[in-house]
Amino acid sequence: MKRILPMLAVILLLFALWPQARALEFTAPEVPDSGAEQMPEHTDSFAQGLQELLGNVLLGIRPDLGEALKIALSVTASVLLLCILKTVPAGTKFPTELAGTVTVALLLGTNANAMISLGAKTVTELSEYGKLLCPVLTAALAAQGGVTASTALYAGTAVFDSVLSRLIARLLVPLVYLFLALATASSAVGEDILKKMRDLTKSTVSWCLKTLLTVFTTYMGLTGVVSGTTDALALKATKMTISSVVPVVGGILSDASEAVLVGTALAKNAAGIYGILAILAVFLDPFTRIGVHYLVLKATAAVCALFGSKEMTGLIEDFSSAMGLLLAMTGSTCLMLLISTICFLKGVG
Amino acid sequence: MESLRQYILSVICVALICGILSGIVPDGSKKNVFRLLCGIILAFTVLRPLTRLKIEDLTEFLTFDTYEASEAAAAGKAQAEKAMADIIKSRCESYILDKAAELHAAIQVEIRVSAGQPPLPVEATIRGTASPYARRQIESIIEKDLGIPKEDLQWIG
Repeated sequence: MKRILPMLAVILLLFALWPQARALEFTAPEVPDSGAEQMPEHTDSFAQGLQELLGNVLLGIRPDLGEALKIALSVTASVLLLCILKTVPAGTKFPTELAGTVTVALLLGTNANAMISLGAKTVTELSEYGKLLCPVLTAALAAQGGVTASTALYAGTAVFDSVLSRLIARLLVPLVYLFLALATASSAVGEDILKKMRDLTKSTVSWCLKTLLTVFTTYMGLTGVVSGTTDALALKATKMTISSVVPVVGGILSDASEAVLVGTALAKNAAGIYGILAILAVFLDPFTRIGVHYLVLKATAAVCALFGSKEMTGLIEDFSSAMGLLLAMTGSTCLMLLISTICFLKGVG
Repeated sequence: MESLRQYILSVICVALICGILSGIVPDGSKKNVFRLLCGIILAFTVLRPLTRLKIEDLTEFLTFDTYEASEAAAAGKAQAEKAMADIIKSRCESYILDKAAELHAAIQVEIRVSAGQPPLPVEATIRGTASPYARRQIESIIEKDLGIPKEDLQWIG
């Protein structure tokens, strides 16, 4: 009997809490396969999850670093060999420069193509994950009382994400290929018009990304203020309605409202933290891989500048710039999703 | 992708051909004319895709559906309203059961809440037996504390 009573009390307590426990469920979508390996096991704490994630990503750098260094050594050796050939009195300058350009382009071209494909794939995956995460956070924010804000944030995120992902797929990635083609051609023949077109192409990509990100950030900031105020006023009106009801019911309403808000906030934060970690898990590995190639090529250009011709060093730098453009594209997509998620997490008011 | 590949190859080929030929052409006024022609041909090759661009195609970038956003927000709001209604229902029932226990009445109670916001208790169904005094007290408590009028209170048994 002594044991049965406490057990009964526990069972009764569980039943008493049951309505609140099953009140609200907002689950972030599962991380895509590409980010599953990097995804941390602990997603309750953002700091701990991020630490684990960064550790996983850093461990995966070594193969890419090795590959990038191999390519860098090949390019440096080729440039050095061509410099030696140029010093041979019988050789003419023009075929040597052309051969050097073709050699460097061939050595770097395949790798650049792989990185461009990786960047484009990452942008697509981030965009697809965002499309799954946004409805969950929208529902959670609406449940918290932020109906206007959640609708506006979702609509804005959907539009800008759609514009950015299509822009990258149909315009910016082809422009990166064009940039490399113009860089190779201008290095081979030294035409000024090709150099100007190359610079214009690079500026176009940078400008598109900067403008879109600026407009998006402005929209999200304004939306948060305007619609957040609307929702805060609506919540205030609801609270006043509750306080005007009979005391006992008013007390129950107030407690229920508080329980729902707290439960929703917890669920939304959990979904949001998981979502942020999933976005970073998808983004960081490709970003780091492209970043490694970017830095190694920059260093290679600096080393080749000591003995190589201006055209060949310039071409290596252009390949490095192409990697930089890819970093900007993937970074913009990730940043857009992170800003959107944080706006949802910020809540009402 | 194939058209992109062809475009890039055409730019590179034209650039290389122009470069090689301008290397062959001897210096002089002819070289300047030749370089001008090469520049025009290169510019045409690079800008050719723009001539096929239609402004109507750009509107495709801006297609979006706000209906999905409204739907998601409505689903979240509905979920919160249902959760609140469930909590209010269970709390009101627990309140009545506590008061009934004090009056030694063995009853089961079911509360129906309104559909509006905030959800308020509007109807009560009580099953079980209670003394006339306990019955009167419970009815009074339900009417005064929960705001459910007597005509919306049903006793079964």
